[in-house]
Amino acid sequence: MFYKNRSKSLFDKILYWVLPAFSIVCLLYAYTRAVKANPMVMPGFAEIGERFLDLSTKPIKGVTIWGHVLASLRRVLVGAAASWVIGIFLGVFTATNRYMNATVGTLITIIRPIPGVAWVPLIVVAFGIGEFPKYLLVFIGCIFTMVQNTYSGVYFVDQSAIKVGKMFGANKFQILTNFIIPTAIPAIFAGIRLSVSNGWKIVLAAEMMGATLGIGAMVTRGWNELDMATVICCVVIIAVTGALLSVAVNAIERVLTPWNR
Amino acid sequence: MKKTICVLLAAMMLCVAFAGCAKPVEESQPETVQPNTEAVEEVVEEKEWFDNVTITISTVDGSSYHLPFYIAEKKGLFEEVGINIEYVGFPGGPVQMEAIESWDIGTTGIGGVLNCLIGHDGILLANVREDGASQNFWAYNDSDVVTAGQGNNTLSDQIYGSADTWRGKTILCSYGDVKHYTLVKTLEGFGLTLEDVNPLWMDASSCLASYWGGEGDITAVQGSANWDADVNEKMTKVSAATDMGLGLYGSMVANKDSLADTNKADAIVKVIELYFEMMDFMADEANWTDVVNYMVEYNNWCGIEGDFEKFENQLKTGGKFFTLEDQVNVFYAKSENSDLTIMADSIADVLKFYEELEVWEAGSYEKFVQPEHFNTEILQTIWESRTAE
Amino acid sequence: MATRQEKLQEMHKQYIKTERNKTLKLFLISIGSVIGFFLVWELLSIFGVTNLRVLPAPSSILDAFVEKINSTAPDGCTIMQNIITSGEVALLGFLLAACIGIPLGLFMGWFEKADRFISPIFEMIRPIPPIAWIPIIVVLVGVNMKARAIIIFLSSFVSCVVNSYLGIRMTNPTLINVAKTFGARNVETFFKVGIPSAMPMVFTGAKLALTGSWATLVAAEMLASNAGLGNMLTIARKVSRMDIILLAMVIIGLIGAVLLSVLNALEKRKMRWKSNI
Repeated sequence: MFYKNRSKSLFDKILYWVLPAFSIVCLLYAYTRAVKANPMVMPGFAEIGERFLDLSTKPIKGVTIWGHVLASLRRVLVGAAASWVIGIFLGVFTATNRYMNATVGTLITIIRPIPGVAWVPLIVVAFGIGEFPKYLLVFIGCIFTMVQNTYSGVYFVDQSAIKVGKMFGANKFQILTNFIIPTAIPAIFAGIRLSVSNGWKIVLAAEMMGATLGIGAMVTRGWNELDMATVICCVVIIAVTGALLSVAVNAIERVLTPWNR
Repeated sequence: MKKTICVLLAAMMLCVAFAGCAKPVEESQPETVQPNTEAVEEVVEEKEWFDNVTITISTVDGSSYHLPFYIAEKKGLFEEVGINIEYVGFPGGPVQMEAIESWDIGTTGIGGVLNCLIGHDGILLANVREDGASQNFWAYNDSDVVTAGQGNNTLSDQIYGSADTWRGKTILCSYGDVKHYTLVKTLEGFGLTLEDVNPLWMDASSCLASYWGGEGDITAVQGSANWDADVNEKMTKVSAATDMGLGLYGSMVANKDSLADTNKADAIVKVIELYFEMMDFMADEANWTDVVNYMVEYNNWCGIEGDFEKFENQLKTGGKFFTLEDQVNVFYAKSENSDLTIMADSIADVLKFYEELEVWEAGSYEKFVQPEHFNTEILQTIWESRTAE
Repeated sequence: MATRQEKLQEMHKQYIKTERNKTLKLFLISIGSVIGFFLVWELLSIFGVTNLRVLPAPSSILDAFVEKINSTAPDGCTIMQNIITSGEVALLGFLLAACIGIPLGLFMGWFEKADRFISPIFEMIRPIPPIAWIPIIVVLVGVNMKARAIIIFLSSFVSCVVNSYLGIRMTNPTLINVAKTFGARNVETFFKVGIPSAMPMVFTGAKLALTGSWATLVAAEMLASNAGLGNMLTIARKVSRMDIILLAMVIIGLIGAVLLSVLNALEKRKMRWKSNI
C-alpha cells in the first residue's frame, strides 16, 4: 500500500492472478482430505453435484429447494421491513426525547443482549410454528440494531445546524424532518444493512429449530438423516443468498442516497 | 431532500406491502385423488358429511405412526366425508409439543407423550405402535462387545456383550429421552449402572456422526438411520428397546381445546375411526407391498431418502402396530397396580424412571395421572359402532 | 464588577444543580421503568392474564434460579457449571479469533500479496452464517468443546479480520507520507503508523466479534452440546419447563451485557489518546 503508485513488474502482475487461484486450489484440497478422513459421512464432489440437481428438481414438502429459499427470504424481508419502520421510529424518539430514553430506552438496553436464537423456544410456545412467529423472530433480531444505529445517527447530529434552524423559526417537527433525519440517514442505512444480515442469520436459526418449510429446515432435515450432501448444498446456497442479499441492499442504498459517496 | 425522504418512505412501504402480500407458500398436501363429485353426491345421502371441517394432524416427519393417516388421505377417504386434512410435520418431538396450539391431533413417541400431557395439558387417546423401534444401540462388528456374544443379559437374550465388556465403555447417547432409558435398562440387565460406563451425552442425530468420526465404543442410533445399508453392514445392533419388552408405546395425543370444540369433535372421532380402519388394512398380509410403497412415498415427500428395502425393514422390524382390537381388549383393562389403564400405567412407569433420574421434576407423576389427560370414550365409541355393524 | 461576577457564579452553580437534578431524575425513571416492567409482569401472572404455560411469572424464574444453584436437574449440571462451560468456550474461541484474525486483517490490509492470497478463501468463509457451520463441524469433529470452540472461532474470526482490514485501509495517507519523508520503510510504517491508526476499528471489530460469538455459542449449544447454558435451554424444552428456559435467556443476556461492558471499558482506557470515539 505504501508503494502502490509504483508501476508493477511482470512478476507482480502474474502473481496477482496466480495467488487467488492457488488459494482456491488449497481450499479444494483441504476438502478432499476431509472427505478421505470421514468417507462414510462426507460426500465427494460428484455426490454433492448430484444432490444439488436432485434438490432443484424434486420437491420436498411440495416445494423445490428454491421454493424453500424464497420462503426464507420472504420471512427475512417482512420481518426486517417491520423492524425498520418501528426501529427508526423508536430510535428517533429515544434520541430526541430524554424521558423516552429513560423508559423505553432502558428496557431496550436490557432486552437487547439476549441473542435472537434464545428467543426461539419462547416464541414457538407462544405462537406456534406458523409464519407470524417467524416474522416476529426476525423482527426481534433486527430491531435492536436498527434502534441502536438510528439512535447514534440522531444523537450525534451537529447541534449548530439545529440552532440555525431554530433561528429561522422552525418548529420541532420541521427541525426533525429537515435537519435531524437527513443527517441521520447514513447511520440509518448502516442499520438497515446490518439488520438485513442479522435477519438472515436469525431466520436460519429459527428454521433450524422449529420450522417445516425454509432452507434452515432443509439443513436440519439433512442433518437428522446424516445426509451431508444435502447439508453442504444448503449451506452453499445459504452463503450465496446471504451475499446476494448484502449486495442488493448496498445497491439500493447507493441508488437512494447518491450524495453519500 | 424532502423528495428523497418521501421516495425512501415510499420504497420502504412498498417493500412491506409486497412482502406482506406475497402469499406464504402453504405446505401443500400430498396429491390426493380427486373423487368424481357426482359420485360423491349420490353417496352423500348414505354416508355422514362433515361440512369441510379442517383437522390438523401433526407428527415427526417420516414417522411410521403417521402412515395410516397418509394411506387414508391418499385413498381419498377423508375427502369422501368432507374433512380437510392439514399436515404439519416437525423435525423433532419437543417442538411438536411446544406448538400444540397449531394442531388438533398428533402421533408421537413416548417422550412426546410425557411432554404433551404434563407440560402442555394434552390428552392421550390411543396407543399406536410399540415405540423403541428406533431406540437401538450399535457397535462396530469387530468390537469386543459384539464378539462376547449374546445371551448374557437378564432382560433379553438378543443383547450382545457381557458385564465385563460393557463396563468402562464410552457410550454415545442422548440425554433424558427413550435412548437414555433403554441404556439404563440394558445396563441393569448386566447388573451395571451408569456409573460403570462412560456416557457421552449429545444430541441424538450427532451420535452416529461422532461415532463414525472415531469417538466412542457404542452409540445410539436415531430414526431411520437404523435401517441404513451402511449401518447394517458395518455395525451390529447390540441392544434394542423392543427386545427388552420395555412397554414403550408410541401414541396418539390431542389438543384439549380441539376436542372441546364442538365443530371439530365429531370430525376427530371420524378421523380416528378411519385411522384404525387403515390399521387393519396394514395388518393384512396381502397389502404388504402397497403399504411399503406408501411409506416410501410419504418419506420421500418429506425429504427423507430411502428405497423400498430400507422402509420394508423399518416396518417389519419396528414392532407391532396396535389395532383397535388390541386397544380395547388389552389397553383399556384396568391395571392391577393402579387406578390407571394398562396403557397409561406403562407410560407412567417410564415417567417414574425419569423422576428418579431427575430429568422430570418431582410431582410430574401426579400431574400426569390426572384423569382429564386420558380420553377413552372416543375409542369405545368407535369400537361400539364397529361391533354394532 | 464583583457583584456581577458573583451573580454569574451563582447562575453557574444553579445551572449545574439543575442539570444534576435532571440527570438524577432520569436515572431514577430508568430504574423505575425496569422495576415497573417486572411488577406489571408479576401482577399479570398473578391475576391469570398471561398464560402461565407460555410465560411464567418472574417469581417462578427466581425460584428456578435458586433451585438450579444446587440442583443438576434436568440437564445434569448446576447453573454455575453451565455458566463456566459456556464462558470458557466463548472466551477461548473469541481470544483465538482475535489473536489470529486481527493480525491477519491488518496484514492483509497493508500487504497486497497477502491480500490476493488470503482473500478468496476468506470471501468463501465470510458469507456463511456461523449457525450454518454447526452441522458440518459437528460431523467432522464430533460433539465436544473443540467443536464448539471452532464454531465460535469461525464466527468471531470474520468480524475481526474484516474490521481490522477496513481500519488499516483507512489510514490517513498524509501520515504515511510524513513517515515516508522521515525515511521509514514499508514495514516500519506498518507498525508505527498503520496499526495504531487502525485501533478504533479493531476495537469495533472485537466488540462485534464478542457479541457475535456469544450468540453463536448459544446456538451451537442448543444444537450440539452436552453442557452449557444453551444445552440447559434445550433440555428444558424436552421437559417443558418454561421457567428454566426463561432463566437461561436472562442469564445469557446478562453475561452478554457484562462481556460487552468489559470490552467497552478496555476500549476507553486504550483509546484515551484519541479525542473522540
